[in-house]
Amino acid sequence: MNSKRDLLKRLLNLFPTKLLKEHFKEKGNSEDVIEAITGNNRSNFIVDFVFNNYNSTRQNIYLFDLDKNFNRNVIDNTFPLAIEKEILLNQEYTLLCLPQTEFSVYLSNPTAKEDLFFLQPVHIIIHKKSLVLIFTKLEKNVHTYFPEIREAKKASVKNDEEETLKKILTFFGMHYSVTPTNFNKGIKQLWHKDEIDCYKIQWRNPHSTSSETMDGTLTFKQKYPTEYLKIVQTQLSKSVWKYLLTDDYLCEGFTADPSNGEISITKFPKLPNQVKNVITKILTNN
Amino acid sequence: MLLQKYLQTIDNIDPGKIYVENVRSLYNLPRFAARLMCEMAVQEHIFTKKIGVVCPNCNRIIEEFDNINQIPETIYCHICDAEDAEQNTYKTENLKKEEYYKLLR
Repeated sequence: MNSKRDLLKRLLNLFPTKLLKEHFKEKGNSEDVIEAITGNNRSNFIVDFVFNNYNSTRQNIYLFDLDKNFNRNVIDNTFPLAIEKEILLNQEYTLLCLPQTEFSVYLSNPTAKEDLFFLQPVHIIIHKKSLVLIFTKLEKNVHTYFPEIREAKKASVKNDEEETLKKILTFFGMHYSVTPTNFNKGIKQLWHKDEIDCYKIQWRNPHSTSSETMDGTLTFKQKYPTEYLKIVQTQLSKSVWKYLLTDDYLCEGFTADPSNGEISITKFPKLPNQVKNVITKILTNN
Repeated sequence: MLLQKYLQTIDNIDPGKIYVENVRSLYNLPRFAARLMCEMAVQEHIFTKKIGVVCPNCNRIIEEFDNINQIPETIYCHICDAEDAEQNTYKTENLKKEEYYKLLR
């Protein structure tokens, strides 16, 4: 259930099948392709693939500002995660960690409790005073890993994303002052230029928090231009965005919490650079 | 007359969805009279009637239909998906449906 090969299979399952087929030159359905890849490739090849192709996954992204320029020497043996790979390119450090998340799952037919382990790719990208943590999203429904007749429910989870994030931030907090990047300005610029519009938006009023969730596939600014002018003067929080241009430069949608430096990509991007472009575009307009 | 007055009121704006309650509260009518007005407006091809399927998680209208037969067995909510909710596809038989009207222009 949790052999090294099982973990590699679940790791590859986080990537689009099309990409796996192209990269490893395998044919068949997702299950066949992953079976063949884990049978024909050494684990370090698979880790290399994970390191180089995270831009094609669904992700939770956390952006932070450091109070001074990053110094690589601070990452020593006290760093809380094992570093699988590292690269330095144009003064930008990219580190890959694969922490193990452990789910306890209740099963029916027959009743049982099983542990299900996953390796979650975490890319740590540091450039001068900018720290970006990219967590590839794990499959949220554990029942996909069991036969259909066995109803599976999560009982508990150990070492999940929240815990890993906390460990990383505690470590960086010992060496730097770390604050979530506030990208209200960046997102409002893109909104102003009609490059993006939102399906859902939450904002802070002087005495309350308001939220608007659009019906169907309508977007906020398009339907409420007058209200838009008021809320761009407020602090934005959780929001769901649609990319309005048709050039495929950004992914078709993303969620963001501009006041807490959080971005989430819930669908596989069409093109590999789209996620990176979302981050860059928001930050260059910030 | 009341209906004509209501239409004059909303003619210059985008009224979006018109609920019976909008008409009732505007003219302080009994609910049945407001509903009757809306149904008359449908007969006169002034309004069209819609059924909105409501998301159990975000409470928004996921999609609207012209009649009950058009509603599919399951429906996908892209906001629930974007926000990583436990579920993003729902059986429509278990979901709340709202009736409302739209202005035919």
